[in-house]
Amino acid sequence: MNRRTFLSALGLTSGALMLPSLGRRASAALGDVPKRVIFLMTQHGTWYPDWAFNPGGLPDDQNWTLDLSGTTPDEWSQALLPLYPMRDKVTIVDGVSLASGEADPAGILRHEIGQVHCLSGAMVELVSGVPVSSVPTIDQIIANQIARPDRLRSIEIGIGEPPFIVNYRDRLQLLPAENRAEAVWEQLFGLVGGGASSLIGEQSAIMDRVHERYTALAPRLSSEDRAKVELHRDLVADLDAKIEGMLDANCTAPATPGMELGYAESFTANVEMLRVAMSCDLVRVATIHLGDIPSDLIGYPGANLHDDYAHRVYLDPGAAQAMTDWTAYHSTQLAELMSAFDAVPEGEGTMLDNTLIVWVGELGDGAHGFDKWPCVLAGGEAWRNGRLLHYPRDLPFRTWSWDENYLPTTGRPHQELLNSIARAFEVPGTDGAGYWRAPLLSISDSEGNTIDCGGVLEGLFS
Amino acid sequence: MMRNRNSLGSALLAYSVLTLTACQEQEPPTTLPSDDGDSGGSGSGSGSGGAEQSAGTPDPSPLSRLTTEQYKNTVLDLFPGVEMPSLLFPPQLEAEGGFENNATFNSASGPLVDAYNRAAIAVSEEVTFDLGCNLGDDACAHGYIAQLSERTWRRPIEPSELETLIADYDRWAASHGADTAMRLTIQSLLQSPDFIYFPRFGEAMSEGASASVPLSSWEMASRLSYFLWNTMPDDELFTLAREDGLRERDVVIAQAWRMLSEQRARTAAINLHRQLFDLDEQGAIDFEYYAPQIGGDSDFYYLEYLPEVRYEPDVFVMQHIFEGEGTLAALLTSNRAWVTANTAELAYGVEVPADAPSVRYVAPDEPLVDFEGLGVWQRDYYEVELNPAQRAGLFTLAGFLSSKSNPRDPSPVKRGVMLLERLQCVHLSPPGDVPPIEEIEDAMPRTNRDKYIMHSEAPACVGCHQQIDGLGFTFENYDSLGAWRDTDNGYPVDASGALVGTDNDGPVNNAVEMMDRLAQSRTIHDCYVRQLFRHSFGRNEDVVVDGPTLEFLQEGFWQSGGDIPELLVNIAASYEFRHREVFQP
Repeated sequence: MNRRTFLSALGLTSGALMLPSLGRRASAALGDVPKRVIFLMTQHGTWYPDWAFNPGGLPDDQNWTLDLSGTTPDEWSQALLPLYPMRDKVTIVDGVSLASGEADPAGILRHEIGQVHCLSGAMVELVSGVPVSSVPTIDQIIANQIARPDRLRSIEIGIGEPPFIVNYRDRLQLLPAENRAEAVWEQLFGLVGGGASSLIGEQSAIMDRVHERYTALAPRLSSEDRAKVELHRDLVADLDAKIEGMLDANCTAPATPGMELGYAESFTANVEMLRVAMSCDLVRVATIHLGDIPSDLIGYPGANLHDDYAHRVYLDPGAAQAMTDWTAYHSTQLAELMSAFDAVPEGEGTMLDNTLIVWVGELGDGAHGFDKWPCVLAGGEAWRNGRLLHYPRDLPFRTWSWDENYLPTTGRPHQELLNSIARAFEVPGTDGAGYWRAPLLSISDSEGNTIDCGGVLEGLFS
Repeated sequence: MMRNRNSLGSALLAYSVLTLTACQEQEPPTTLPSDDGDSGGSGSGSGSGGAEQSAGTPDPSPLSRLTTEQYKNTVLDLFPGVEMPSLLFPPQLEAEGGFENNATFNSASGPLVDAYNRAAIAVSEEVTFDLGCNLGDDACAHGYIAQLSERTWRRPIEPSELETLIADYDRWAASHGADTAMRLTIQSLLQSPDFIYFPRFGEAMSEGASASVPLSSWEMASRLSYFLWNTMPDDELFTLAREDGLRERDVVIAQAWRMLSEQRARTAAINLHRQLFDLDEQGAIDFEYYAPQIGGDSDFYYLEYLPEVRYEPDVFVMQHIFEGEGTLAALLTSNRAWVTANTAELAYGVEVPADAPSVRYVAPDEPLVDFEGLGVWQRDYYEVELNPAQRAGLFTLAGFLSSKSNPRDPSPVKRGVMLLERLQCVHLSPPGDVPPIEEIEDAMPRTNRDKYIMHSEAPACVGCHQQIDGLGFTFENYDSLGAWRDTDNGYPVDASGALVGTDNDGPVNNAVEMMDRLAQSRTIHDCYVRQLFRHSFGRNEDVVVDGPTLEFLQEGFWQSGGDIPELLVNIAASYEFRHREVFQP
């Protein structure tokens, strides 16, 4: 297969590689702004003892960094071992906490609290009793910065049955994950190459007219209804701006995926679509929200992993092993995603080098803990990969524990991770360096302890 | 199967709630209407919607938007005979009660607006123009635009609006020809807010200082049709709208009864109960485990049996409401069901008599039935009397039982929670911190029930689970397929339970007794009215605004013996349904 054929098979053409956005960065130099971001969201946290690893026996109560390039497979944890072959392109962050969830007064399920906090860094808002985010989530903050107005702003993909929404464009602007692969295809490729049809070619004129209709209706409504119509009007304007770009996109869409795909097949099909779409610069921001893994895929046929294992990780070694296997399966999914992007040359590197992947979830562990929140970063080269960053859990803060015995300390607030990601993308804002930071600047517990949430993860950028 | 539910969980309650336990909120006791609460007893087809409220409150009427199903139904009505293209809209968000039309969470998103665009293009490509005149003639085309725009936007078209539509058409016709120009015009109409949303302004808002204003006849036509038919008005409703004939309550009542006599009302009622009782979800069974029961053929299970099981409740709802007793009690307790030969054998252990009457049911466009491009699923369902000692109502059918199960074992918690939230209107608020249950030494669970008892004994759990399990355990006689079982893991099934938190509390021995107890409860009837209120108004209730209407409807429903068609008519005839509150733009 020659290079041109190879690129074509990937949905790329030489023209696509000449797009300004792709030419901006010839190679992924350390510290460059990544071109894309993908959030990989999973459920039920992990079993920490089989997730973290510390082959050198370094002190738990200190900051330290492990260079992963010099590690051997037997030094890695079971849960993360599938990432070993890609160790030079991952950053494992050990010692972060969803501590703001502890401070949230919403009084709802901790799953629900975590689903709001994880990407928003903000407290839950209860709208008619439903827990939602009142602020944009980090994916949309980044989309504001890097999304092309003439292309898809972002895509939210579901695999299996994602439990609830984690992406918000703004208050009451929920972005549910689409778990039908054929619908994802439509979002990504539905307009691509369609400009030749006269039925589609007049879209700009139609959008102008539709925009006028929304503009005419809005002033006649109550303030709340007006906001809805104005939002719709603005989204029509967005569509108008991007529709021509999508119609003219130089991209060969992959085949339409089959319907009713199984969990693994759906993931693979979506990774392929995302790879092609991002190769063609159709979209730069994505979330893949993974529902519960079917139990038979990880060797527990017939089990309800949430009910039978996740809740019992601290009590039953078998349950802990099940959740380790659970996380290991997700590690294979991350490896699959990384490999797919790493296989596409871009500049002097690969697409993965220009794509930051963030793997987090709504909980630290299956018993609903917020501490020891597992976090893996991959690709992007916004910072030096190939490291495990360890942070001690030494911030005084009353932290709920599975056995009802509250712990006195916790790890770094996860807002520092969100702030770090925003800084990697140079999102402007109000922190000391002029970058965005999560709206929750500090949190306090019932005993008067306060944690500053306004910083970035120490050592990440060094 | 893979439908993304994205349930918003349980919402609402602006009520100052009566807290029964730490985990639940329940509606306050109702105050019965003092002197005008008759409203009952007129029965189906009587032409009466019951007595009118002495004093009404207007509907806040937040801006509603077409649901996915409404969009598709409307397109089919706008363009009769159109071959419906595959339309993929984003997952719909649900509020408490499970309804997809709730205005609280219907803000547009980028993917939704994109989907409207793709849908408009796809529909326009499929439309055929059988106009009785030559589309190439300007008079023909312009006349069609005038007629189509009124039907699409469900209101009179202002002259300036029509001029704009025609000007666009003429420009496109000059460039692309009449056929393409008309398709482009359709795209424009279908993406306008006038089609996608339901703005309700009411009549003559500028007159007087009243807090309430009647809806216009055009607005009433749409409100009635999307409530009772889940689609656009028909010609008769449009004619009444043009004649301003839908402002009188008696006319609304007569129209409501007429509408309920049509097939579209059945489809709409099925759609309502599909959402209310969460019938979309299919059981995620462990096929290997159940293969011996199913016959070991996965194709048969996924392509035949599951769809048959899924749509049995639809037929049950349709037949009992429109061809049978028409009561909530019938939905909850009747052992008269419509089954297939497969479900009769595998789930119910009966044979379909050779002379059993049947109903042919064409399922709506569901993801499940789209499999392999089937588009619709058509099946004959045979009327049978199931064993009255084993089956009583909708919730003892295999569809519900298998959807609320785990892969191997049934889930009394899923079954109990569904009934508690949707049938009893209990808003569950689980405690934030749920510790895992420690092993009890030497206390290995023998049965599914034992396992759940162990999981629910912690002090933090017992409050809620007393109610959840009291309902859910009574269904332990049904396995994950919904088949009857006398033993579980070799031990006799204990299906005893208790109804808690209603006016008809008490112990029961099994699901049949539980359903009977529920069916005789005023609490359950009141909850059903609340749920239908949420669906019909596209929002959740507010005690201040909606209390009088709810109490009126609840009393009428109870007095009528739980007559569902009459409740639907009473909602349509209510003051609140026909009026909106005045607002300042």
